[in-house]
Amino acid sequence: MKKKLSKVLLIDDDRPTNFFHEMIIRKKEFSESVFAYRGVSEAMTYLNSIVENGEAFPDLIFLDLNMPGLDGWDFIEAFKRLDSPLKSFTKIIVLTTTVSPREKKRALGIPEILDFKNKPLSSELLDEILQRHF
Amino acid sequence: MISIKSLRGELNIFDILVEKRKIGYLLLDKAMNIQFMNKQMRLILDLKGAEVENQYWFSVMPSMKRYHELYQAILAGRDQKLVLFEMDFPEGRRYWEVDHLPTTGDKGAIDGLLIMAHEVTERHRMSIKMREQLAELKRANDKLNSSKRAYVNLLEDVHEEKNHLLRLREDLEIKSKRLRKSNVELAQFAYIASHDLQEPLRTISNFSELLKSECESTLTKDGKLYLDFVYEASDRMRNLISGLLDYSRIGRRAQKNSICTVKLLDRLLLDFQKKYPEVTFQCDYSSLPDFVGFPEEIEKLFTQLIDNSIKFRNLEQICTISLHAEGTDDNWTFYVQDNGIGIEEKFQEKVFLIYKRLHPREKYKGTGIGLSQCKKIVELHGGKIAVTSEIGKGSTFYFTIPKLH
Repeated sequence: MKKKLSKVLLIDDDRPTNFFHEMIIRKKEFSESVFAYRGVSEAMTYLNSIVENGEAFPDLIFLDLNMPGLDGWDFIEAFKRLDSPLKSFTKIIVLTTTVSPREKKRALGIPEILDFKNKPLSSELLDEILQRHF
Repeated sequence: MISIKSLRGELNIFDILVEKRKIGYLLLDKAMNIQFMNKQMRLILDLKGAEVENQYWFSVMPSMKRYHELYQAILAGRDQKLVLFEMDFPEGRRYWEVDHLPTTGDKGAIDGLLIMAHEVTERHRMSIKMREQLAELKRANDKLNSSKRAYVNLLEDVHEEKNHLLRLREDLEIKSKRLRKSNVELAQFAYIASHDLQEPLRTISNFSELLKSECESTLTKDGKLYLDFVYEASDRMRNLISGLLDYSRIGRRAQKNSICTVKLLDRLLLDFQKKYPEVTFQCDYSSLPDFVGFPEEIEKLFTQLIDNSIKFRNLEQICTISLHAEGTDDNWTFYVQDNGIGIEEKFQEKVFLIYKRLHPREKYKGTGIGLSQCKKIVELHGGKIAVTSEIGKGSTFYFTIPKLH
């Protein structure tokens, strides 16, 4: 039976990017559900609400680094401050168009971050992620 | 050989001879009794008119007892020494050189002592003075030598410093050349980027629009949405590229000139009224001073800051912008203050980064280049820019422009 994740979160400020990624994930049947948020505060509002009502944490978060106002690094800080043991089930993969080796090094140095990938998501990329990390 | 007998006989002649030289003399016999004392000696010893003949020398002058051994030595035939005798007078200390000569009797035996005192006060004082002057001269010479050494050291330091400066200048010339070359490359790059990149972008936006209208009837809702995405993205990219080109052009071939700030703002505000016809805004700038700067760049700077104040205005209030300036000897500091939405403290430095935006595109338009251009312009003038702000209350952008001296 093909592996399938339960819940995936997309965090990116660019509407077409979220639209595109969401489409790919649904087409591939990568997960049962997928939610897209346009910024850190929106994503954190959602995550805070599931801490309250006891819903499951997402299995995977695709996080864009470069967002206006609060960016990907700010999200990671906010995520760390979440008070729930369930969050250890959530894996974060950073998506970015930047090829800066310094940023990659910084990202992989943070324990919450699982991997660092260039946009856009593709079917092949999703296969690789499923195989490697789940 | 001097004998008392012959001396006593010749005393008058002797007297005449010594009177001129102011020599005091005294004749003693072996028993130390005074045989004769001349006028000058009496003067010296302050014994004027006193009866001294045949008196015991040491009774008359008890202070002379210290020479007793010396006298005995000379009477015994030993060599005489020149003695320097000093005595204090009200007008000062005086000095005498004293000779002690044995006298011989008939059979050649020593039978007395001739003491001759010759005043050497002047000479002695002069000698002391000379010694003092010599010491001073030596001190002055030492000082001169150390001055000379200091001077030589200073010369060496100056020489070293000069070499150092020459090396720095060489280094500066090399760096300056490199910078000029780099600037030329950057200008070329910016030009190429703007032209060669804009063209394919125009193709994308033009043809996505054409496709939308051409296939109006056959496109699904999603299809139309995708084409809108394409058009918006390519349009955005065009703005980003032209903004980048603008940024790279700042300061190239710029010439400094005197700027009448009030007149400049009169003109800018007319433009803003046309750009934002639906917005009521008040702008006070009447107190702004004239100053020297790069006119085109300064116009861009004020335009960007005021545009931001209007764009990020508080919708519940009348947009109020006030501009004023403070001057020191070295700088003008300009303040652009508004009552807009404000900027959170954690972003107050980041806003000056190129392409850094704080709000989603749907809420506020813009490329995120404006403030980085302002920063570049201010730094072109040798100044600094920063912002203080309170969320919901407003922001004050302030920057310095060094005065020309």
